[in-house]
Amino acid sequence: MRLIDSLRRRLHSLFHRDAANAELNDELRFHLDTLIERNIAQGMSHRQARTAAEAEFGSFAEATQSSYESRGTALLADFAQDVRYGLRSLRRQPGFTAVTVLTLALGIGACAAIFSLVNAVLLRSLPYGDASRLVYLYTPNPHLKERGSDAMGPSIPDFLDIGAQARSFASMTMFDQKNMNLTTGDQPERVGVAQVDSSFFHTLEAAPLIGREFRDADQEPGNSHSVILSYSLWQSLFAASDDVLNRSITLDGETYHIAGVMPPGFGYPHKTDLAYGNGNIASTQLWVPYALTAQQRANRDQSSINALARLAPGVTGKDAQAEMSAIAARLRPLHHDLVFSGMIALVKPVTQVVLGSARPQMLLLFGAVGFVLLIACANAANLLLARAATRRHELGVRTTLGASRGRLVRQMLTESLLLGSAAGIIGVGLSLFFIRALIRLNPGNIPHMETTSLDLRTMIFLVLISFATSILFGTLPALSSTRINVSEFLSSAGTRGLIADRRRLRRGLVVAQVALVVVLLTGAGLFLRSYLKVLSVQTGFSPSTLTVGLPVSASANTEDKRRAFYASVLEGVSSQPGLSATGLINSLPLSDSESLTMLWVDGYPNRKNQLVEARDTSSGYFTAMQIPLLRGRYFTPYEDTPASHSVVIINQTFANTYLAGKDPIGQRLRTEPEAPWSTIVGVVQDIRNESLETAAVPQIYVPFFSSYPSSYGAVIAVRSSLPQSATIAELRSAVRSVDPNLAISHIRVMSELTAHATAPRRFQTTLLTVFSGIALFLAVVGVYGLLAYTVRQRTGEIGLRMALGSSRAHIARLILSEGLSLLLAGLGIGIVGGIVFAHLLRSFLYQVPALDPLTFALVPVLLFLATLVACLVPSIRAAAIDPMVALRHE
Amino acid sequence: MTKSNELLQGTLDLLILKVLTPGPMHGLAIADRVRQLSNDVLRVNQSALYPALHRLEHQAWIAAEWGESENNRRAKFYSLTKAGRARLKSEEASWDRLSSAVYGVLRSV
Repeated sequence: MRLIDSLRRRLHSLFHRDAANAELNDELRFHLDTLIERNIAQGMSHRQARTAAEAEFGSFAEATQSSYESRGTALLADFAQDVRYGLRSLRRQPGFTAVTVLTLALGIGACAAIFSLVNAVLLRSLPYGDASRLVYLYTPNPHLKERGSDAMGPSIPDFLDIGAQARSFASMTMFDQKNMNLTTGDQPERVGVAQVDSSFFHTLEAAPLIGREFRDADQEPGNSHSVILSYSLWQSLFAASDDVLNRSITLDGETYHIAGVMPPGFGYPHKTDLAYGNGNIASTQLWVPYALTAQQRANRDQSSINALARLAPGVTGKDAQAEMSAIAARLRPLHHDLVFSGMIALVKPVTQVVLGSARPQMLLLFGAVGFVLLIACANAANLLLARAATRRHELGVRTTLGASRGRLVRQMLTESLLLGSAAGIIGVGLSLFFIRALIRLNPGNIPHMETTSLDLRTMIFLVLISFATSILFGTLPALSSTRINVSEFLSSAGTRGLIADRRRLRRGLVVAQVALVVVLLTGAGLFLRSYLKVLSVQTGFSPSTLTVGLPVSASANTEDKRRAFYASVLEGVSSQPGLSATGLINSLPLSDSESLTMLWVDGYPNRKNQLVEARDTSSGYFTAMQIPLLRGRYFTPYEDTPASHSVVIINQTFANTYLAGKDPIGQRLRTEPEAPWSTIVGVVQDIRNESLETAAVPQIYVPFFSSYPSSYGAVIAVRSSLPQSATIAELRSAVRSVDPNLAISHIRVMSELTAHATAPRRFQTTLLTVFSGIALFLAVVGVYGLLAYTVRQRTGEIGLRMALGSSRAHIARLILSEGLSLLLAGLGIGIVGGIVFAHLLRSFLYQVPALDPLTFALVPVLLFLATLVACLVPSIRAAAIDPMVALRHE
Repeated sequence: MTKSNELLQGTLDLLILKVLTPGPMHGLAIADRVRQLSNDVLRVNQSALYPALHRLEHQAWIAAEWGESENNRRAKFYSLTKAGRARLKSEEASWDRLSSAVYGVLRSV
C-alpha cells in the first residue's frame, strides 16, 4: 500500500510539476518570512533581518532544487524531456531517421519471423500433456545397418507382452497408419487414418472435444466400426454440427459410426511425428479402433506397429531402457524370423524423434538471421556516429553549460531507444509478412511449421530484441560522442582528434560488417552450390511420367481377388486410347517409402542379415517411367502373372556390388532362405529412390503379379500424348469402371516428386541466400555511408591538396584506397570466419567440400564488385570538388 | 553519496519523525523544536530539512496538510502516518543499537 501511495504521489508531482513547485515555493517562502519576522521582532532592520534570515536559510534556489530532486521525479521528468527532445531532433532529420529505422526494422522483422518459426517448431511444447515423458519403443535388429532400421516397432504380440510385463510406463499405446477411401456424396476421397488401440488418446493426454475415446470393446473384430473425426473434417463434412454423434461416414465402402471429434490442432501422428511415418499422411484426419484378430495377437513375426508410451512418474528414460532391454531378451527366443530374432529394445524420447533433424536447421537459420541483425545494428551505429558528428556543436554547448556526461549519454540512449522502438513496431509488420512467406516455403519436413505465428512469446522476444538492439547500436555512439573536453571544444582545435577517434570506431564497425557479410555469403554460396549439384542429379526416370495412387477395392478381400482387381484396373487403363505406356508399382521412387528384404546371391559370399531394396513392378513400369534397360530384357507379360516364373530385374549398382566381373543375365538370387532361385533377366539403370542426395543402393524389381498383392494399394504410372487433364479423366473413368467407390489419389507427375524431394534444401538455400542478400545490401550502405561522410569531413583538406597540385585522379584514389583498405580488412577477417562457418555447415552440404574453392573465390569477387560501387560514388564526388569552394568550406 | 552522508540523512529523518510524535508541525517549528530539544547543539539546515520532509512524505511516513500558522500565515503542517510511527520505532531501535555500540567502543579503551 505504502509503495502505491508513494508511487501515486511521485506520478502526481510529475504531471503537476508546476503546481508542486508553487507549493514548495510557498512553503519555503513561509519559512523565510517567519525567520525575517522573528529577526525584526528581535530589533533588526528590515534589510538586516532579511540578510540574516537568508544566511540562516541557505540558498533558496538550492533548497528548491534539492527538494525537487528528492521527490524522485527528476529521472522520470528527464526521460520525458529526452523523449520530447529526441522526437523533435529525429523529426528534423527525416532521411537519417527513415534509413536507420528501416535498416533496423528489416533486421528485427527477419529475426522475429525466424524466432516465431523456432518457437513453433522447438520451443512450443508438443500438445500432448507433458511431451517430455513420451517415448517411442522400438525393437530393431542392430545387425541391420540399413537406414531407418533403428526405428522398427515391435510386433503386435511383443507389444502386448511388453504391456503386460513393463512397469516403467504409466500408459502404452500401439497404432498404425493407413489411407482409406472416404465417400462423401458421389466423390470418394483418400484420407489419412490411424488405427489406434483404446489407450491411444489417454497416452497422449488428448481427449475428444465431443463424444468419447475408444473403449476396449471397440477393439473386438466386428465391433470396430466407430471413428473419431479431426476437427477440420468435422467442419468440412458436418459443418461443425452438434448432432454429429448420431451420424456416420463411409470408409472403404463400410459404415463407421462417429464416436467423437478431436479438438482443433490435434492430428497425431503427423508425418514428422514418426521416424518412418506414412509419407502420404501429413496429418491424421480420422482415427479408427485397431481391431485385433486372434491370429494377429498370435503372429509374432509378421507385424511391426508403432509403440508409444508415457513414462510412469519418477521413472527415467534410462530406467525404462534397462527394463525394456530385459524384456526384449526374454521375447527374443520366441521369434523365428531372421530380423526379430536378433532384436534389442530401444527407448527414444518422442521429442528427440520429432525435433532431432529440425534442430540443426533451426539453429542455422537463427544464427544467420542473427548475423543480419548484427549487421543492421552496425549500420545503425554508424549512422548515429555520423549524426553525432554533425551534432558536435550542440553537444559541446550543452557540456559547456554544465550538462553532465551521464545526462548526455542518457539522452543519446533515449534517442536510440526511440529509433529501436519505431523499428520494432515496423518490424512486427515486416515479420508478419516474412512469416507468411516462410509458411509458403514450407518444405514439409519441419514439424509444426504450419503453426508458425506471432504469439505472446514472440512479441516478448520482439520487444526484448528491439530494446537490446537499441542499447547495442546506441551505446558506442553515445559514449563516443559525449566524450567532450570543454576547453578543447571551446578552442575548437580539439575537434580534430575527436573526429579521428570516431572515425576509427566507424571504420571498425564497417570492417566488422564486411566480415559478417563474408561469413554469410560463404554459407549461402556453399548452400547454393550444393543445391545446384542436387538439381543436376540425374534421377534416372522421366520427369513427365504421370503417377496416381490406386486404392484397393473393399470387396477385394483375398489375395486372388486383389490380384484380379489390380489386373482389371491395369487392363482398363491400358486399353484407354492415348496412353502409350502403363505400369504398376507398389511404391514410387522419392515417395518416402522403402521395402527391404533379405537377400542371397548365388555364388556370392553372402553376409548374415544381408538386405536389399525390392519393389514390385508390372512389365510396363520401366517403359512408363522411361528407365533405360542396360542389358537383357524387361519382364514379359507372361512372366508377370501369379504363376511364379521366378525372374527378377536388377539395377546397375546391384550388378556392380554382387556380380562384379560377371555377366549378370542368367545369374540367380533369392529373398527367402529355402525358396527357389530367381533368374536375373535384365539390368536397368540406377534411379534415385530414397532421395536425390542418396546414391543408388542395390535394387531388385520383382514382377508385380507374381508377388504378394498389397492390401494398401499401388501406384499407376502412365505416359500419354494427351493433355494432363484428359489423361487424369481417362484414368479416373478406368478405375471407376472397376469399382465406382474408388478414388485415385496423389495425382503427380514425377517432376513434382523430385521438386518435393528437394524442398527442404530449397527452403534452407532460399532463406540463407535472402539473408545474405539483405546483409550485403546493408553492408554496401554502410561502406557508402562511411565514405560519403569522410568526403564531407575532408572537403577542406581535399581542397587544400588540390590547391597544392594534387590531381583529381589522385584525390579519387585517396578515397578509394580508404574504402578498399576497409574492404580488405573485413574480407580477411570474414574469410577466416567463413572457414569456421563452412566447417560447421559440413553436414548440410551435398558434394561440395567445406572449403569449396569456387565459393571462396567468388564471394570476395562479389563483395568486391558490390562495395566497389559504394566506394566509387564518393570517390568520384571527391574528385569533382571545386578547390575554391572547398577551401572556403570551414 | 558517501556513507557519512547517509548516516546524517538517516539521523535527520529519525529526528523529524520523533519531533512529530506529539502532533502536526510545520517545517520551521520542526527545526526550532530539534534545536530546542538538543540544547542548541543540532541546528537543522533548511536546505537539508525540506528535502528530508519531502522525501519522508513521498515514502508516506509523514503526511502534509496546509493550515494556519501561529502568526496567521498559510503553512504546511506535517504529521506522522501510521507507517511513520512504525518506521520511527524501528529507527529508534536501530539508533539505540548503534549508539550503544559506539558508546561501548569508546568506553572500552
